[in-house]
Amino acid sequence: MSDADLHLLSGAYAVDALDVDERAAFERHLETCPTCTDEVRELRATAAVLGAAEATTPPARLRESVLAQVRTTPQQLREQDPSSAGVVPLRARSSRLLAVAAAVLAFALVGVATWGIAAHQTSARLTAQAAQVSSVLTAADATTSTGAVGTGGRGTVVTSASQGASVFVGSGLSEPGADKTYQLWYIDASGSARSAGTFRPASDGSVVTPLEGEPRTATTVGLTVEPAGGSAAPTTTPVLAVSVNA
Amino acid sequence: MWGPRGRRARVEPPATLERLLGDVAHGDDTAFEQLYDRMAPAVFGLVKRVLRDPAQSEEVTQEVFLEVWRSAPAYEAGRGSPSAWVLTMAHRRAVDRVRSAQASRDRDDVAARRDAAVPYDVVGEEVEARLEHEQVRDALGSLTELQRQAVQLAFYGGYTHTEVSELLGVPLGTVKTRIRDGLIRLRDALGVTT
Repeated sequence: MSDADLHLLSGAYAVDALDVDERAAFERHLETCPTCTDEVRELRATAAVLGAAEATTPPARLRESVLAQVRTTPQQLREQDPSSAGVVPLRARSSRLLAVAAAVLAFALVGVATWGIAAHQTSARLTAQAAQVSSVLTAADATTSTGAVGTGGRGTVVTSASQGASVFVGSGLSEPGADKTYQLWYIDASGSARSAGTFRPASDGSVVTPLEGEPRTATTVGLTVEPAGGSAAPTTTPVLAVSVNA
Repeated sequence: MWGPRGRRARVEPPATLERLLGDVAHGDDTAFEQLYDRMAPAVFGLVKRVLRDPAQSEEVTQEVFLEVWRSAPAYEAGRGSPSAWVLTMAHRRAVDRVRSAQASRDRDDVAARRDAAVPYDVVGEEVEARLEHEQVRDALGSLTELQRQAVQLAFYGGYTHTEVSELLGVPLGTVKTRIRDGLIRLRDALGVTT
């Protein structure tokens, strides 16, 4: 096969439409053809967008199974990276928050599904909210900022620029008090705060909620405990502040 | 309260997929959990779209994440984003599985696979990424009929270009160029940059 013919295989290669022999021939060609290498990278990124658009929540048992297997599976050795020699693996951060988010979200969706027609409008709103949460959590560009909450538990803000939205995920949060509420804030570099909504955690201390309003120039998301109904500006010391604009 | 002299909780930086994958490459299983939570819906959804069978899709999704864990140290940022890297792996494994399963069943479900690959305006109830799904549907709509069919049969159906050529009754050379032209047009319509 001539080089000109091989060039034309970049698309079929990017979507895995070559048979085993053709795939091997094209991969040999890629080693010496930077043009095709660049094109394949772009076309694979395009195919990845088609793939990501199919996102579907996998069963929770799959997560447990994958994580259990990973614990007993060795990794490949790093190639030629002297900086990693003797480095102890990082195991510091302990965050199961996104797992909690997925579980809470799944629960919310089941709740919505079984709610029935009587609560149709509430149901539609919750579905929209769950869909928004889900699209942020699965966005390719989503970033995660996490920290310990001063009054107990952990809080994570997941932000997606492409979705233009953020989601707060909390776990192990303490009950704020009968006449109190948690309130989220967008904080910009000058320190001024705008409310991003209030919430009360579930009885197990978990919460997954989209942030209200737009991040605009916010560099930090903060969390305070406020009187029920929320405040126009923070009235207490923040229990959590995480950076959201790297 | 939020001014420089206010008492503030420690501010921690956000983690991108790139950073998580870098930590996974150093054996950080907590980072792997976060990576799993972020990527599993896309991996599972894509694999299920190709394989259609939920049980097999779970198996393949599991294989993909084990491969992500094992080969994370070999990931090179220059060769694509972390999500493209993971989804490329997922698609290839799904396609390999559908082809081997098909060989063993004497390819008796060719018609079913073809029918499943083509319609795109129907969104499965379980698809989460509705906005992305709509963008992809619109982008596919901007292709010529032959480009669209060739890309869909190859990508969602898992057909080789030789099979696509037979299914569509057009020469192999035409299929090669239509898949490539179609993907280039999709790349531009979706604004994909690397």
